[in-house]
Amino acid sequence: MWVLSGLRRGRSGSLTRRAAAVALAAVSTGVSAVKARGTEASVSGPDPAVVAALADDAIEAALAKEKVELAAAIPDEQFLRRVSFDIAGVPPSVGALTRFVLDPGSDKRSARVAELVDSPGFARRWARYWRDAIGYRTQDRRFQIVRRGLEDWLAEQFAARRGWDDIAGDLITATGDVRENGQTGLIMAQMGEPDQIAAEVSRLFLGIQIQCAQCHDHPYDKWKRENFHELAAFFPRVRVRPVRDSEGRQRGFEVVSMNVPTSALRGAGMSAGRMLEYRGRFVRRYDRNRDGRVGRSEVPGPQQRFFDRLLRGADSDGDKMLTAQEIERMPAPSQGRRGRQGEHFMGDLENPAERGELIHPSFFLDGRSPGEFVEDIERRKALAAYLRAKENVWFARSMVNRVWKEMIGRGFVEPVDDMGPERDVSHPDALEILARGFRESGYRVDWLVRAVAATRAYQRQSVEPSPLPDALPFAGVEASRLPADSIYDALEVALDLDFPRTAGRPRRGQGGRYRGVTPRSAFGQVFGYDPSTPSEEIVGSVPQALFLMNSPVLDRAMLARGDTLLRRLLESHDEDAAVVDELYLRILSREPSDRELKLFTEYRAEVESRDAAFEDLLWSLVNSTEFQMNR
Amino acid sequence: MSTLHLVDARVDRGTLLGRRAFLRRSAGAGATLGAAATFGAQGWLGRIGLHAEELRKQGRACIVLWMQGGPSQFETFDPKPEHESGGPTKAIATAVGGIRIAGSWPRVASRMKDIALIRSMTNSEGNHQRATYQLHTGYEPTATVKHPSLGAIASKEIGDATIDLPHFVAVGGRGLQGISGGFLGVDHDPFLVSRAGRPPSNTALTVSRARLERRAGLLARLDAEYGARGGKGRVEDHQAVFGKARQMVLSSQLRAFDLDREPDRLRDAYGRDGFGQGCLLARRLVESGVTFVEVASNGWDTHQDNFERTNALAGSVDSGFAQLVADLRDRGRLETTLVLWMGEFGRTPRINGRGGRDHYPRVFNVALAGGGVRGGQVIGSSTEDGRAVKDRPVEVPDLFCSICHSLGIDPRSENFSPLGRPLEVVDGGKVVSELFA
Repeated sequence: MWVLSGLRRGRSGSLTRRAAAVALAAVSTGVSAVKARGTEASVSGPDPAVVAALADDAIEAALAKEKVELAAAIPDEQFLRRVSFDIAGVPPSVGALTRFVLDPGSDKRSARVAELVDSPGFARRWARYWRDAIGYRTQDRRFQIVRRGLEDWLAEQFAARRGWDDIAGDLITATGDVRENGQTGLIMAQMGEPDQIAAEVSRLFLGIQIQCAQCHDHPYDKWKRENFHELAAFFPRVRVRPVRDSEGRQRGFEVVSMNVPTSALRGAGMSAGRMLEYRGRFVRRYDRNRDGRVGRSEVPGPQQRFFDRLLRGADSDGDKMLTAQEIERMPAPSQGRRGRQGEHFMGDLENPAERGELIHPSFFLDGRSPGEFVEDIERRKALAAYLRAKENVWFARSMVNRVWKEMIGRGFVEPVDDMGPERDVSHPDALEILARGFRESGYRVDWLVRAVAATRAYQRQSVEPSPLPDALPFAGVEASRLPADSIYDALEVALDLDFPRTAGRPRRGQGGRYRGVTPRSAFGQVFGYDPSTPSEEIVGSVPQALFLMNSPVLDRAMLARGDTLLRRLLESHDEDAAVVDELYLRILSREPSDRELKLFTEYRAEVESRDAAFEDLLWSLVNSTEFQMNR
Repeated sequence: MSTLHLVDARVDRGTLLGRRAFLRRSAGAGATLGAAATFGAQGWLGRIGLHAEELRKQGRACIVLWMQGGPSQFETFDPKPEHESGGPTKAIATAVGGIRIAGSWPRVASRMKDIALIRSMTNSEGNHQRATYQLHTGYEPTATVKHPSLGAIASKEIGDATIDLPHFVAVGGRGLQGISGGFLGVDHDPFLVSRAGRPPSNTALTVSRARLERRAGLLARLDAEYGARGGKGRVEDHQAVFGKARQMVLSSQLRAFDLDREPDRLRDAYGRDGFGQGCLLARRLVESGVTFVEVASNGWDTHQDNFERTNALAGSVDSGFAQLVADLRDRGRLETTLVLWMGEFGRTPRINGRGGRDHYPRVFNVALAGGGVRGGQVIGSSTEDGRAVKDRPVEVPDLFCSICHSLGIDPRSENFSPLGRPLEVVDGGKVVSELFA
């Protein structure tokens, strides 16, 4: 029942249905063309440039129809800064910039993109993107334990060119010690809570906010309450539990499957011994307030029905609470009784005290199900398979929308994690073309990044976002704040600085249990943001501004004396213009305009010394809006 | 989660704009823009604006003394010397007849006429992270909405826009879960001060004032060049934040952070440790117009050696808390400043094998002073063995409604989450009216 696969068109729908069909067919032709040529082993799927051109045609046709004028194409130096940050997370070196601008080759842009995609920076930059997309929604600071491991694991996957479908599947089906296996990061971020994992899987991998349907039918979309709970029912047997050392001290967490014997669940009857063993753990596990008794409110939703059943049999003093003694005194269960633990229940909103309804896993987009009472990994693997299924258009659309937003400044749908299906898509045909290409590439993120970088849309000058909410975007790109890691790297390049050396050795984290706080992670605490946020809402903060304008560490690095970049530049160049050029190239990856040069010359005349004037210029460039923006 | 209700969609999702985008666009496109009407926002914004103006005039403020880890109620303000649950902790008389508190709080005891105790706080969350989030935001944590903490809400609703300092300052905490602007944005994040007595990070001028001003002038001219190339809105945003930071480092109000301006005797009276000096800083900040200050005392998670450790901790917190209340009263600021002593939960009546007490959210206590609270009273009680609330249970939303009442914030007013979902400032609950009677 793929009733939901059609994209809802924005008010300014673009191509005719027929033209779109032709374009989509061409995506497939692109695939066969590449396959036929058998070229470049590193390229899989359709030619990114072909798909990019098709997407461009769709976008430009729509803009032309609305009589929106396209912004001019960007010069080489801007292109290089953009792709360096967007693809590999770092600014270009001055040397690379000069070589690139002087290179007479006509295909140098795509060649540079290919180089960047092959650089280690590519895997790291996108790993950090997903680390933050996952991490900024954690409810628990102990996510810090897995944060770096998750980043490293993701970087390995991107470097190995694994498909996004494989990576998403691994994140969903992960088990193991969170300190050793970064793949557990998504489950750890939600501490194994089924409702929260379900909400995040839908938000991150489908761009759909299904959790709005947790308590009521979705207010804007067609989802019913059951749809959410059927998704949560893929995860009731996931647990995040403490790992202790031989002396009983907690040393971290592990993600495990808590399966109960299927035979019992299928009605053949759990053995009396197993049942008692399970109950024995019950009080220990759920006694959140540590009063030696478990009340219904202490038990997570999925377990409440089990609690009710225990209560009926064991609550000898009738206080609606269970103690370990009461459970021990409970008569052994009769054979043949069906166990229901490890299942998901949808609470009854009218009667919150009631156990609610048993819900079996089922994927809300197509109704597929792994069956009833199946084991944890079987459920999670099934969901991973449904996500990546060819018919599931949301999986590809969601990733395309995110990468597009990250590189162009605005998604086809905003916010990127709330796509539909009732949302307006600004350019539905272009989104569909790219999503199709992405799928045909085997969900390769490197392919997608290359395709977006190849579009004319990406290579246009930046424009102010239109004040009109219905205006069609992409006549130009929109500036966004750089990620924290990129600003950190850009500062090191700009000032020829080594933060770990300047800012001291890594410190141990809080409580000694977390990974050490490094200068980079401390910087991220101040400059980081949730990348799912619309970019115009990602703004700077006062502590960030204070750091850049008034921190002792940067102040020292910007002096014209001591072992600094500025002193070396001033010593080796007598001519002021040469130093200005050098500073602009290092800090903003471009040469100053004539006006900017003139501005500085005037400033220089007002200031007491050459050294002071250049210190001020360097400071102003580091504190400028442009330095913190990706375009 | 199940108690959150989604009111019918007030915002047409098709045209939903972010808060910033909305403000910028309405400014750019004029008030006739259709989106403003769809939002129903003019009336809403207008109401808040009017409300806030009155409160600013009143100079309402709140200081939270946060006992990180979960302070034992038995060793603070609900001792049980008659029962084995109480352990060796003794009770002492206070300035108010009939109210007895734990022995290590003599100075608080002497201020009891200004202080109200709630001994019947009850909650079901025994996990530090989740409970800390809940006791800061009034909401249970969820993956999809980052709730603003109360300090952020106060900053937004009644923050005094004319001051140079941040509206919400956190002193000595360790960046706790849930203390953030949440979906209200970084504008309302707490300004973190790691240690009272030193200027906050990066606020001590690295160059002369004149030079900073000169640099800011050059920066503005260079930024205008970028603005002219399609970055106008970005430059405006950046200059606004930069301007705030500059204003702050150049402001004479920064003196509020300089505790050397206080007489030595007063500094001694607050206690010469981080917490005591943090309380003094809080008073100075509130006097400078800061709306919400949180001062943290760490180490209350006493699973081992509960009695020795709480005794030592109380030694520091007792003087800071009592002196803060006394000082605010002396300076005529107590009526408009709510002081709130609390942690994320209480501790078990049972003393474990290591002489410690474990997490116990079922019964815990909080103390309040000022901000219109009638001191010298105890609200609610726990049972003799301390295992349960005996009467007048008070839940987290009730406490939050009471704080809002003191600050003059309507707990039923709504903020919009990023997905356009209206969320009330406090999720349910009722004002504990006895506090203000």
